[in-house]
Amino acid sequence: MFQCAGLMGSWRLPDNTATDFLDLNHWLTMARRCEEAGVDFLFFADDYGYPVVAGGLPATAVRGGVQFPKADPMAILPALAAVTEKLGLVTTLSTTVEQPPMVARKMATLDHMTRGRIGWNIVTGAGQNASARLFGSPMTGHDQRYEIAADHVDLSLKLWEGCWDEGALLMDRETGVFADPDKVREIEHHGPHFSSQGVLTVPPGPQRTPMLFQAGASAPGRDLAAKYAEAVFLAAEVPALTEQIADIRRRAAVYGRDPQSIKFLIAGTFIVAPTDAEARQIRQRQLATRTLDDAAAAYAFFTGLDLSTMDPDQPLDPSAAQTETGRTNVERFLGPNAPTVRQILEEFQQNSVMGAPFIGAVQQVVDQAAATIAATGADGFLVQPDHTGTFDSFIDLIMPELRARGLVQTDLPAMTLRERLLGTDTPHLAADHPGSGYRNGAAALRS
Amino acid sequence: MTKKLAIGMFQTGGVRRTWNMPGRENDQNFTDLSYWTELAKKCEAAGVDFLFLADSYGYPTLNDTIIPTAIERNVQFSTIDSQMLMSALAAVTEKLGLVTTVSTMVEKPPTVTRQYRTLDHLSQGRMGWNIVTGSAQAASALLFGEPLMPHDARYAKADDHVELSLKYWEGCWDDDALLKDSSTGTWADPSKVHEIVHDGPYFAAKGVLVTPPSPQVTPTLFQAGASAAGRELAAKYAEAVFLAAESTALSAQIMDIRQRAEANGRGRDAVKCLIAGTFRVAGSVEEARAQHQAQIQSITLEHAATLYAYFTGVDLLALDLDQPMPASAANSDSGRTNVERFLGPNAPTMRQILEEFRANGVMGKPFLGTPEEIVDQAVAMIEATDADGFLVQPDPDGGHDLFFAQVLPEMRRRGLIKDELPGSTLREHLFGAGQVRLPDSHPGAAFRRESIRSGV
Repeated sequence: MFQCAGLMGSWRLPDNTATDFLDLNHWLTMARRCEEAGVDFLFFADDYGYPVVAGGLPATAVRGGVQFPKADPMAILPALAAVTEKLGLVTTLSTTVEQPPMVARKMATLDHMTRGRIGWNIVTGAGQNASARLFGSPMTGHDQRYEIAADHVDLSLKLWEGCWDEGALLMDRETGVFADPDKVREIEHHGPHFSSQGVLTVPPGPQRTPMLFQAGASAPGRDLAAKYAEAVFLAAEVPALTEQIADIRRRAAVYGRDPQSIKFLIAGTFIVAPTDAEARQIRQRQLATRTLDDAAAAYAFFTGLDLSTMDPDQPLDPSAAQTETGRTNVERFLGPNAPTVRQILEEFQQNSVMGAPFIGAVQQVVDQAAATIAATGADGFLVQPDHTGTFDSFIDLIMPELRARGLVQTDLPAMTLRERLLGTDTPHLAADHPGSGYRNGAAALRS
Repeated sequence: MTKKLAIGMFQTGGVRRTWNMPGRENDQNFTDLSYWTELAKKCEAAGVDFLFLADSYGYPTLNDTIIPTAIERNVQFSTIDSQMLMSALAAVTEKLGLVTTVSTMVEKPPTVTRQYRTLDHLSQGRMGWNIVTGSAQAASALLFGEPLMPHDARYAKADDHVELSLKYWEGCWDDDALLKDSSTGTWADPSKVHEIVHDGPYFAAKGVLVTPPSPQVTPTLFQAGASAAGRELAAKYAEAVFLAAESTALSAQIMDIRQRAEANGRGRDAVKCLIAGTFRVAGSVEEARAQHQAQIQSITLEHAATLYAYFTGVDLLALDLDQPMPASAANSDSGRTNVERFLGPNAPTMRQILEEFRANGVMGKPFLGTPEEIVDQAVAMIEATDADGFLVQPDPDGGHDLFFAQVLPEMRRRGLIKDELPGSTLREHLFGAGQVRLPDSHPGAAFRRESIRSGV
């Protein structure tokens, strides 16, 4: 279930509760609801960016609450861990912003606190132009960010898999030995972007390495996914999704990984009500709260491009694909039959980055969703919140139908997130994952 | 003494000693979230001002490699990331302050400010940031692949970091910026949300902290690290400092910090000085001393030396134990607090320093005896040092049950503890009801747009 620690759904509607995103009770209620409903995980998108237009924060973003404001989702997770036993918890951390030893330590801690239900969504970071200025550094180019990401994940895996052997932690009362110094070791890493020498001081949690997610569909993004991700989040139209999924599976095979072992989750926006007419009404109410100005601000956030300065009746100039901020939402609007700038704005006004919603009564919506899964080869959905910013309509109306059709399994016992999503009997990375190669001293510091 | 003491409970995210205690082996330990939530509830029930989590990315090293004793005996070694507990603790408490440690060497201002602002919202104004440059710098620098920055440069960087963090917290949102008006579709007033600009020796920035102001706006600022540079940082920015040393050293440090705070225009009482207090209760002083001795029997000299190396980078076992510390050690680029305290006239020998570390760690001598005797000693220490309260060290099992059951009631009986915590935010607990925001005399206040507009 997709969230961010910010305004979700349509905040201007009176029944929207996402405006409570700074209230801990809002999140506790949501986590409990998701746990009761038996969904697999709650997912938080995140970034340090915001829309930047003409060198500053546009008034539209502040007034309209467009990709602004935001809070830190990782800060929320510990409270959610305490009130859930089965629900997976996935958070997004940028490899451009967070250093590997910090990611390793925080995620290892959360792996313990959630008893193995934590996931890391690996991103290079949306809203890069704003984010770079916030951190006082020049914006790192798109492709280089992906090189950094690969190096970051490599080092993080060494820390998670390479420092503590199985059985290193003894806590032997007789001898007073806490851990076996021959089984706990410093690793070393000398990569193109990160160097490190040392040990992760958190002992391994149930999963050792958090379950690894990835989002970002540019070519380097797909490569990163193929190499490291256990689950991938995609948002695009059906033909593009089909192609992206097939491409990533192909690349995974080249990396020596079982292509079927990667789970693909696609953005699913469900506008559902007891009748089709009511669902369309909800949609209209929602659309009425969003302006084209809001859309332009949102688009600028994702891509760094200011559509309001372009000819609305022309498509994007192909050179726009070289934007260093974010490419997923430029590449999808190029090529043959490319939409005009006005059409892109309208798409963003209506659907943001998540693609067309399924709208209607329960049966037809589930039919459409099932057809999309069949057409794309995806494994499931990352469900967007409804207009209230919550998942109430999905949980109340869609989940029973999915259960009735045997499309979901919701009565699973508590287990690690990796076991739950991959259906494996090990909570640890698969043997064909590069991280598993760092066990038992393969990354050790050579003195 | 009529002064009401501030009481904070000192913890680290490290392993509980219970793993090694007969009959307690199956107690929940540091990787169980419920251990921490139960601890927070106990602190809340006891009515203390705050729970304080020390933290570091380092561990004992010598010659750029981890000391095996640290792994084997868990000397300043295994830990969780205590920031990853906070919202869970906030959820089970209502008044307890929550203070965490983040190093200015490790986390950058945008991440620090966003984390604390979010947590301050989730806890409804109870967060504190303990500003440190980071202990065990040698290990930490290697882990992050950075050169070891000299001691004073680290403090210059910390100063720059805190200034930028204050700009983000105080300078981005006017108090009345947030409207949340769905009828006009106006979330916030664009004229009242500002990008700040910073161009300092270590940090540059242009941007806005995108999380709206929380109840305290800026978390209550703590500082720990008693070198001259540390005290300078404290006198400039800290609202509370944590000090651990012998009584005479503490008096000098506290007097120095108060004088510097006054010289900075903040006033002598702007900084709450909290001293480490280790309380060991028994039927008598002799009994308490015997128990304390028994507890430290299992600590070898190697263990003590490993601990000392963690704090200072100095390998005492490689030196002549019957000599005092060489003066050159004070120029250590690791930590100086635990070197400077052992220099000067009447300096102890290094064997004596090791024994001190073996007996008392870095927190100094414990108060020993019956509850009444202990509180007498504690009061005497407060009066001798002019401290404002204690950062209470854990009981031998790592928790605070004994202190809450046996010492705190005696303190309350003598009127040493506030009957009720004033206000609902951490800053109010320490400075009185209504003191929710940084005071105007704090340098952070100068970054408020109202201040800038009125030319303050």
